Amino acid sequence: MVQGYIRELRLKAFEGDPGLLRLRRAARILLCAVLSLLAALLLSSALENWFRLGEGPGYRLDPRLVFPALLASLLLAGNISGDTGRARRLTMLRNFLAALGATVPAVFVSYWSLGYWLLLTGLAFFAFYLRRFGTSWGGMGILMLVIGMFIPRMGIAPEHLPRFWAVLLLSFLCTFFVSFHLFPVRLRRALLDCLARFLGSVAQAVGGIRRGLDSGGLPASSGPPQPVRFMRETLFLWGSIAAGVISREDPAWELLEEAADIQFRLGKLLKIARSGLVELVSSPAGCPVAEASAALAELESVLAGARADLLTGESFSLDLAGYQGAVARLAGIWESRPGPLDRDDVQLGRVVLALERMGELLASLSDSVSGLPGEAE
Amino acid sequence: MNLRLTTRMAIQAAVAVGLVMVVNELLGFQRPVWGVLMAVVVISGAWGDNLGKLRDLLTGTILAVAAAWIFLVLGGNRVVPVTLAGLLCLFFWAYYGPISYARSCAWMGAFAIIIVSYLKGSRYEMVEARAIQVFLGGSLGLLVSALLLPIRSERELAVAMSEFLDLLRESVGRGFADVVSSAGNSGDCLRGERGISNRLAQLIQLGRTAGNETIVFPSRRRDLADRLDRIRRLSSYATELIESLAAVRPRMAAPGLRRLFEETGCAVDAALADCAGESGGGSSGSVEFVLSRLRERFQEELGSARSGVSRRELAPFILVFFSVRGLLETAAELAAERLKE
Repeated sequence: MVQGYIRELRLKAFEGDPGLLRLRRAARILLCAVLSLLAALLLSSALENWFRLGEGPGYRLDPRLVFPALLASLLLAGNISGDTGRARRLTMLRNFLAALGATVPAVFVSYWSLGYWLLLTGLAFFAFYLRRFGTSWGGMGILMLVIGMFIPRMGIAPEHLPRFWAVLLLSFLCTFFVSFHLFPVRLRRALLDCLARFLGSVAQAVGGIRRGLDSGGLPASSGPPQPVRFMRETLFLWGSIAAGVISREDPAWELLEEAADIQFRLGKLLKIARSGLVELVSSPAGCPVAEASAALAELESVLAGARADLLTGESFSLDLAGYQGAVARLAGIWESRPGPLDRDDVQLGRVVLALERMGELLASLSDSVSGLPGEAE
Repeated sequence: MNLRLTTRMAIQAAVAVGLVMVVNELLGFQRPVWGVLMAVVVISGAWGDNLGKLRDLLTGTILAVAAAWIFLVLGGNRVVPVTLAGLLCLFFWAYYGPISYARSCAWMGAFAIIIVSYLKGSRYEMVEARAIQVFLGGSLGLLVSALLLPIRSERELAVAMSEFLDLLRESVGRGFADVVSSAGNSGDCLRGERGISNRLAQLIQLGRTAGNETIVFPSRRRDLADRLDRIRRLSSYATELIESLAAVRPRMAAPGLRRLFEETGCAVDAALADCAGESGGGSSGSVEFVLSRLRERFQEELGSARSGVSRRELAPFILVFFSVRGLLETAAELAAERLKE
């Protein structure tokens, strides 16, 4: 209950940052940098001059060791990629090992030599070539390039390698801890939050139509409903963030595509139902207000229930029986209208069919959400 | 050469990096590593984005240089202010990364200048070196990406989309023609649907590859996703329309209904031609106007006894109008997007 309330407040406060993904990413990277630095400083205090390169006055912890390790930490924390928590941990481990591997040739070339030229062109080639295997491989290539670029620049020689590895290992451990225990990526949660907000907005729009119908003052529609405009931007923002994390095979993309489609269709169907009801209310034959209102009330209740489920869990259960029954009663009225076919039949048919389609869309959305695997493992 | 996108980008990156180092050697500039990085980050896999990235890099660098300069003038060369400023820059670099390349570049640029200036004990050299290297590396990266194995993934996608729209137009047109003449059979419809579905899968795969293997702007990725979403929706409405047309075919006895479906078919064809860019920009009016006219005609023809349709048979006709409405609106969105480009 409290958790759902807090999440709802968060949804309202950060429309441009679905699931606080950007804020969490920034906090993760910042904390990784701070912890990496602190850990290296503590170790250097304990080991006296072990972290100094060369003789003479200078820092106890040589910046030439820390700077590339800090960059590696930023890149590791900024490119967490994988469909599950386990895959992301393995990606980070693989990237760390690749960074270690890149240090080996890098320490044997001197800065601004032919070897350096060859090393950088080769690493630049692989950084892009590896992208064909997935986004995470591209991140690995860039990390190797940065390590290969800065190690000769910082003058790290083969005899300094164990010290640099020690600093790099510390950075990796801090990054790993922050990325998987303090600020883990919660892409699916963010997507479900978007859906919850959208369903809540649609429920509000349905409630508005129902109240207008009950009070006899249903005004003509003025443009697409708010949830349609909102949902689209948020979903695409989510997609642009997710593109750097999950693979194209992840089922979340199917859900994203379906959600983008549904937000459009539900908006249109709401508009159709509303305009049909507006015309029916003003026609001499009148509108079956009680039945239409009952169907809308059922829909509102289904949507609100689905939203509440999503706010507290990973899926939502739809009990559409009541709603389908209400729509069937409305359809019964439509089919049993007396007299010859007239324009009101077409209007009522539009309303009935729009309401039926909404139920079908919600059912398919529920199936897609249920089919989404968990993110933690 | 028929090379894969990532191979082309890899060759471009390697050549650009090599070139940056050679030019730096010839001109004797400082901080060439920054230039190397800039040459790499400019290469994105789409010419428009390469240009945009260079523009954003330059804009971001101007802002970064200004911010770092002010910081250094204010005496920010002690460890605590430098650390705090560096961490602040890192935070905003990460925060803006997923949405704005220029802002992200500005924060990263400021971080690099402030930290390296402090470590090297110099004050303004880094400001100058950063500006020179961003310009040099970015320009060379852009030049190489334009001249060496240029990438045409956007054009390939546009051609594939155009072919797909032609297929949709043909399938939907055949569906309307069959309804009006009461010819054809449901097997033809199913074959048409399968053709649409197969071609759509190919198109989406092409779009996904373009989005996944490149390093384009978030806004470009968003536009691509938006376009594919519209194409998918258009295809879905077209398929529903073909199915609904097959359902109403046995009930098309009234001449008025045939005329109505002829008019509807023409409107749909014009809209699809418009979004495929084959109508020369001359559509038969705004989509709202066309839809309101068609809605009126549907109500007029179906809402009377002369249609020969019973109440129970009305549903597929209304569903035809639903699909036509969705298709026309989506086609109009695609046409507007094409005109904007």
